[in-house]
Amino acid sequence: MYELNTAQLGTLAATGASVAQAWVGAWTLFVAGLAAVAVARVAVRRRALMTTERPDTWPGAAAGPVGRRRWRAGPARRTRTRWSKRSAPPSVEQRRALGSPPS
Amino acid sequence: MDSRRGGPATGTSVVSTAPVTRCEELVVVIPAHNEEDALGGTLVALERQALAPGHVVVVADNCDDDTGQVALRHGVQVIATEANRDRKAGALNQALGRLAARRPTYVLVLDADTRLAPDFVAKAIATLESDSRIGAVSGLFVGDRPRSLLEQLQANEYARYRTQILTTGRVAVVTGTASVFRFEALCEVAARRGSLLPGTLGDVYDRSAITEDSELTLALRALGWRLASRPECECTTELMPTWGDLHHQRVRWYKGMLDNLRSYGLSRVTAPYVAQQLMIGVGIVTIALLTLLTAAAVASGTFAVQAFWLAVASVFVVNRIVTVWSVGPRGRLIALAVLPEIGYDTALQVAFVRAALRALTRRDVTWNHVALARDRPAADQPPRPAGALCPGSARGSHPGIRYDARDRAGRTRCTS
Repeated sequence: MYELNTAQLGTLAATGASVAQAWVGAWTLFVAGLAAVAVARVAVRRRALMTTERPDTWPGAAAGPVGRRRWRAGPARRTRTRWSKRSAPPSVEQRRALGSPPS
Repeated sequence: MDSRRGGPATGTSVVSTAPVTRCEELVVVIPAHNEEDALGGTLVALERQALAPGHVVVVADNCDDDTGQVALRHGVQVIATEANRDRKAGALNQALGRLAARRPTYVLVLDADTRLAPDFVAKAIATLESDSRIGAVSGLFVGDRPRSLLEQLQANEYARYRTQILTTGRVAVVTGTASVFRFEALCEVAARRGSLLPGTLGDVYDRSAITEDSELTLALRALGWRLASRPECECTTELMPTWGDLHHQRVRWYKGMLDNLRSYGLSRVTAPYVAQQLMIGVGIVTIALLTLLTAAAVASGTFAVQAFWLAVASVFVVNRIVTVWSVGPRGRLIALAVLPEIGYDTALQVAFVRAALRALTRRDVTWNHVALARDRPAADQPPRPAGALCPGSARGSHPGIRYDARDRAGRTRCTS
């Protein structure tokens, strides 16, 4: 049976506290990294929303990654419209059916 | 009868250029247990869908209120469960068994207190039609008009979960609140129960699971089906009005997932979920340790704020605000305040610890049916006659679903 004197107990406690501190620090940095990645993902998605006008719900569009793409009308973004030659933009009726405001 | 209220479908499609999606290909199943207050709003939201479902069935499960009458007033079919002791899973199994004769292509399973966004059905069907490997499209739930701090905190949590799905594309759980399934996928799940999957052969939902939606998610993933979600597939769901209700709900959710993971064991499908649970557990221990160390530092007079850790903390604050941006200024302010959300997270951690202990000791948790005094449409709140029972238009024993196991190449076929 081992017996620890006061000095040894103090050393053990200090070592334990140091290990705990190191663990908490490392974990906090790890989780902060995940949080930063999440923020970056939101920023990327937001940027993608602002640079695309084509709704991913348009019939015939390939099933891409899940993302929120709102129909945004406006001259600045009009120039960035990327309709394929094979598919025409949706009609007003179609947009209404799909829940997008007609431009 | 309006085709959006069930009954014979008209077979209209939303857009002519899309793959033809007829209304009758989609059947909506709404399990309801004493939901006379909430059901009306759910059915109204369903009637306002841009793409009307072909048929709507309300499954009145052991009701002693006017749930069935409310459904009938909206012109939908009502079926009553027979000797169901397996809660929502049992009710859904009975309803889906009866649907086998109809052979719908898609099934929308919808909670009786959930309201769909107008484009929910159209977008979900379009997604399912875009890829035959997708077995389900999950709804993204948001909090229904948060009125208190607690409800706003839940709304923030849901918004964060929604943001996570939309930015990563990973659907962790096909929510039980509102999700559209490929009927073929459900049939395959039922055919594999008792062998490849836990549960009883013929059941779509595992009756022993207390969180049937997360169990079904694992089942679909185990069978190789893909899961998807769309930003337009939004639905509002009720928020827990008290801390006690929230605690009961979360203990059930956490324990349900832990039980499901134990049932499935460690595999490629369950590994991310197991890792998630471990992360939660390690996080709880670490936060407890941090609190302890901070208290010790304060007590010993060695506590000091360092610029580096302040910068790290600012990352968390930015994350909190950005990920709940969609809920509006009130939610953002609460996220900015930090402390309310820390308290909320602590409450959830307590629920997790309790659920983990119950899972370890294999103790059951009970359902907690919450009666909410929300402002319902007046038309849906008639005086309730004493002892009124739910009407049932299709009473009969649960027929189950039979399967043609030979058709494995083209996935399992359902027969009535």
